[in-house]
This record gives sequence, structure tokens and C-alpha cells, in this order.
Amino acid sequence: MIITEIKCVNFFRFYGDCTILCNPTIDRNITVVRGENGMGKTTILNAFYFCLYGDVTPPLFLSKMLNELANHELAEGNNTSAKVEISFTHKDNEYTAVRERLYKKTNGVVNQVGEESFNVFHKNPNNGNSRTIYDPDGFFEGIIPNNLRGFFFFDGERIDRLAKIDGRGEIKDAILNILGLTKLEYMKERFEELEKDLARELKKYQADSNQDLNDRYEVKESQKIKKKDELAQVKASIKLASENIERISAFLLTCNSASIQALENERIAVTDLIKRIDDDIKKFNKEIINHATRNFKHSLVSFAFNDVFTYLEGMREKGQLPSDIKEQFIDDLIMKRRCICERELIEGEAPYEAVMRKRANAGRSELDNAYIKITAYITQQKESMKRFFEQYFGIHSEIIGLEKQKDAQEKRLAEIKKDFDASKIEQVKMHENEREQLDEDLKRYYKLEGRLDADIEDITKKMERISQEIQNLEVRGAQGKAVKQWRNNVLQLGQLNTEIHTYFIDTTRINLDERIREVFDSMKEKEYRFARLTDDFVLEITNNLDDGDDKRVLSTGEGQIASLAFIASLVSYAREKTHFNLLSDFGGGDFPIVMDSPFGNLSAGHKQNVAREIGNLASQVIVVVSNEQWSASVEASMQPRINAMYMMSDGVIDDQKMGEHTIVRRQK
Amino acid sequence: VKNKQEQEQAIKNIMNKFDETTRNLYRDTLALVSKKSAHSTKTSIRGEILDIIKKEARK
Repeated sequence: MIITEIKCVNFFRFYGDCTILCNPTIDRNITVVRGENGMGKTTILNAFYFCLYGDVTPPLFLSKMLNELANHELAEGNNTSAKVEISFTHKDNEYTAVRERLYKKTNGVVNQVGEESFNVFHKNPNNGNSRTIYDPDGFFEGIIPNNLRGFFFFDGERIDRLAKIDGRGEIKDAILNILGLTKLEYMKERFEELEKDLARELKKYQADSNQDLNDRYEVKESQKIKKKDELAQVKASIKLASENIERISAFLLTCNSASIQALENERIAVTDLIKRIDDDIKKFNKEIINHATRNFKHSLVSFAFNDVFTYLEGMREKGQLPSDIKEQFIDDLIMKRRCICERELIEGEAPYEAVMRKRANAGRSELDNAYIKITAYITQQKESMKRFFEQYFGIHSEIIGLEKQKDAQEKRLAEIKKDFDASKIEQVKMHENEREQLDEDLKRYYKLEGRLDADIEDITKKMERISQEIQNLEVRGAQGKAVKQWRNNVLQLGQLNTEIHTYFIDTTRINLDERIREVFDSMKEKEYRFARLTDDFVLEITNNLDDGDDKRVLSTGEGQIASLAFIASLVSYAREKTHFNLLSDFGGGDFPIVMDSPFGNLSAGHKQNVAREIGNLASQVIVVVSNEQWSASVEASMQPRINAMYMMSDGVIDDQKMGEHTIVRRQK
Repeated sequence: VKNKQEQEQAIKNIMNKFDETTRNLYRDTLALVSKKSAHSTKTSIRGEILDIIKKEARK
């Protein structure tokens, strides 16, 4: 998808027709829209949301979509419209998407007339005629699905959230979507349902004595459904609570008090650090479990080894095991009928009997060998045990160290909280109370989420076992055999689907990780910083310091750069993945990135690097930027890639009460 | 980083772990799900998957 034109008509601040032409080329693929704050930068981003997905984001509301001036100018009984038209090419075809609302003034009041309309027109390349696409929503969902839009049309100041722990769900979902793995998940669900239907059918052909197996399966199944419903509710609650915390944080960051802003910034940094420490603790806990699982035999038998070793050594000290005198030596004496003390050895006499008693305790070579082997083994195992415990305590001390760090940060968090509570600003206090409750709720939800995940996994495993048992049961009649065969086919399909799903997830993560690193490297300021996508789909920034001291104090700017790197990687992956079309709702090909405020929180160095690399992020980049963020050096870096630049300015009208509006003009 | 050829080969390897019937069924089901429109219900898709399976069984 490449955007060629955006036309806003009476849409929020845009009065009349405001058109932006893009027409990117390979060399010049950036379109810049500049303006003072308040001129409608956010409206541009929302024009995409409205036209393609039918909604806008706060502070805009669809109820106020009709431009104020157009509203005032509307004569009694007349109609007007507010709309956004976006023309684009996609896979060598030309389309125009139009979403429109009609308005009429009746009795001095302007009201919307009828339903909002949404159409996508496809231009016939041969005759230039346009035809309307059936199911335009479905059509556009196949180009950029709604749940992926945040990766293509976004506010640059807010994308750093991807590089926070909470972003992992978003990242994993984006990968699933872009790869079309949601389709595999859809298939998985259908296979499970079908298997359930067939299992029910199969019951009719099985002996009554086997019905308890089916009953057990059904009980587990209903338990799983219940748990899944609960999990969905918990996830929704987590999302809601997180959004509310973000809202409160945004309020505190923009409130009039500099000290409150500083406190909130510090809280964000401390909370982030705690989350990272928690992540490391989890990593070490996992390591300790893996270590114990792999080497637990040492710890289990360690006491037995000690006992056996002590016992054997005791026997040896007592001369019982093994004796210094060898069996063969005694046999030789008996043969020679003479002892080493020169006494004659005659059967039945005392010297003979004494020598024979010695023979009973004499060390045999087999016993000798066995003793040597077992003591060598025990000594070796004692060494392994030592290493096992050394490693165990090594990891354990790392955890203790991290927990101490966490305690210190939590203390700081509590102090910050106290400072907030002491604030004289009533609204701050109110928000703080709300936030405290939300934090408590979140903790509870996360615990619940973990428990439910584990329960579902456990139930699924049990169901798989029962399902296999059911499949092995005898069935009656030809129809019964057929149903059994169909069910077996469905089980096989489910298994194949799972294997492909797992493969794609792993491969994509590895490939994206590599690309993220490359893009991040091209824009980073600190040489020793590296971005990566971990096994758990966390977008992480690490240090590669020789002293091994990994001080990760992530700045918002770095989070923003890492998030940009992720988005660019995703877009470039999408461009190359067209051969997986069969799997994906997301068809692949060229895609645009539309960024509002790309330089918002960046340092001068980062800003320069982003300006230089921004054209490489996607086939097309549309940048909406404030004059404040624009600078001569940014312009110089971007200039070679810019195909068009537009300026937004205040429309001049005689009577300001008639409503403010923005004019968009192309710069020469 | 795995290139396209490696990925395709890996998918082939996974597919080859299953018998020909399963492979055919999987391809057909994937094609069916890819073609589904916004109006396809879960029940109708399930029915169509079962039809594919029954058809394959009759071969």
C-alpha cells in the first residue's frame, strides 16, 4: 500500500478541501507536513484512522467532526458533508477510500443525516472507470488490519511504550498478525471444535462401558472453557487498568507543576527499573530450575554418597575392606604348605586354620577393582556435587543481589508516593488515590493471569491424554469407523498446525531480532547500546560493556528509537513476506509509515540520526511535525529523501467566532 | 537469520513428518480459511472443513 493523496473536507480543523499529494519515489519517499502546535497535526493522523477504520482518538471526538466554520456557514435547510478521502496503490492497483458524514441544518441546528458511509473504489487500469469494492471494511482489513494500525499510523512521542515490559503483548500480537499466524490460531480453534463434535458423534458407536472416558473429557472441556473465559476477563481488566494508569501518568506529566512532572518522570524510570529487575529475577529463577532439573540427581543422592563413602573408608581402616593380603597370596602359601613365618601349614592344625581365616578376609582382585571403581566414582560425584551447589548458590546470590536492588527501588517508589500524597494540588491527590488502587488491582490480575495460564495448560495436557485413550477405543459399525477416522484426521491436522505455528513464531522472532539490531545501530547515540527481541518477545536494550556491568538506564528517547527499529523491522519483514500469502490476512508488499511528532522526546543526537535514517524505515514515510521540532539540521538530513513538504497555517477569517480552521499549502 | 529457501525447506520438513492425507487436508483447509469472507461463520467453516475431510476419505 502506497498513499498517493489525502483529502480532508470539513474534517475537524480543515475547512473546505485540504489536499496533500504524496507520490513517493524510491529515492524520495518522505512527505513532510509541518505546522505550529494547535494547527491540526493530530488531525492528520486521525484522518487516516477515520477514513480507514472509522474512528478517531482523543482529544478528537466524532460528534465534533464537522468543521466549525463549515457548520456556521451552513444555511437553514441546506446540506454539507465532512469526509476524508485517501487514494492509494496496492499491488499495482489504484484505490480510493472515502468515509463521509452528511449534515443538515434544521431549525438552526446542524445534525448528522443518515448513517456514515464508507466506500472503497477500484480504478480499472484499462478504461479508468471505478467500481465499488464489496465489503470495504473486510477489504481494508486485508491490507492493514485494524489491530496493526498502531504500527503504521502512530504518534512518535508515545511509541516508546513498546520498549517497556508492558509492550510485550503488543509486540507478540503484531508478529502473530503480520505473519498471519492469527489464521493458524483460527484454524486451531476450528480443529478443536470439530474434534469436539466428532468425539460426541463417536460416543454413539462406543461400548457403554467406555462412556466414563468421554464424560471425563467433557468435564475437562467445560473446565477449560470456564478458565479461558476467566482469563479473557482478566486480560481485559489488565488492559483497562493499564490504560487508566497511562492516563493518570499523562496527566501528571503535563500538569502545571514542574516538581510533579519531575516526580512522575522519576516514578516512570524507577518502575521501569523494577520491572527490568523483576525480569532478571525471573530469568535467574528459570536458570535455577533448569540447573536443578538437569543436575538434581547430585543433590538427591548426595547424602547417600557421603554415607557410602564414610562406611567404606571405615571398613578399610578396620582392615576389613579390602584386606592388604590378597587371596592369591594365601593360596600360594597353602600350595607351598609353608607360611611366611616358616611354620608348616598342615590341614587341621592351628597355623593352617589361622591362615585360612586370613583367606576369608583376603582382598580379591574383583573386590579390589570394585572398591577402586566405587571410591573413584564417589569422589568424582562429590566433585560434581560441589560444582552443583557452587553453581546453585552462585545463581542464588545473583537473585539475592537483585532482590536487594529491587527493595531499594521499591523504597524509593514509596518515597515518591509520599511526595505525591503531600502535594497541595487536589487533582494530583485524587489521581494518586486512583492510581494506588489501580496498582493493587494490576498486581492481583497478574497473579490471577499466571494461575489461569498454568491451569489451562494443565487441563489441555490432561485432555490430550484422554483424547488419545478415546481414539484407541473400539467402535461399532462402518459409520463408527468412519467417524473415528475423521476424528483422527482432525487430531493430525491440529498437530501439524501447532508445529507450523511454533516454527513460524521462533523463526520470525530470530529474524526480527536481527533486523531490530541493525536499525537500532543505525540510529543509536551510545555505541555500547544494543536492542534485541528476547525469547519472551520483550524489546530490550542492553549494554555490551567489557566489564560486564550491565547498567541499563533506558531513556525515553532510546525506547522510542528501539520501538522505531521494531516497527521498521516489522514493515520490512512485511514487504518481504509476500510468499507467505496463503498464511496471512496481511498480504505483504510495500507499506507506509505515518508518524506524528517523530522527534518528540529525542535528544539532539538521536533526532539527527532519526532524520537521516527515517527514509529507510519504510517504502513510504509521511511525517507530521511541529515547527518547534523542525530544525535546519533536521531538514538538511531529510532533504534528499523529501518528495513534498506541506505547511499548515491558521486560516484568516474576519470573525474568529465563526470558528478556527487550518489551511494546508504545498511548499515550493 | 533464516532465508526464504531455508524457511520453505523447514516447512516442508514439518509437513513430511505427516502422511500424505494429512498434508493434502492441511493445504485444503488453509486455502479454505484464506478464502473465508467476513460473513463466514465459525460453524460454516467447521462444516466445510469436515466436508474436505469426508471427501478425502472417499478417495
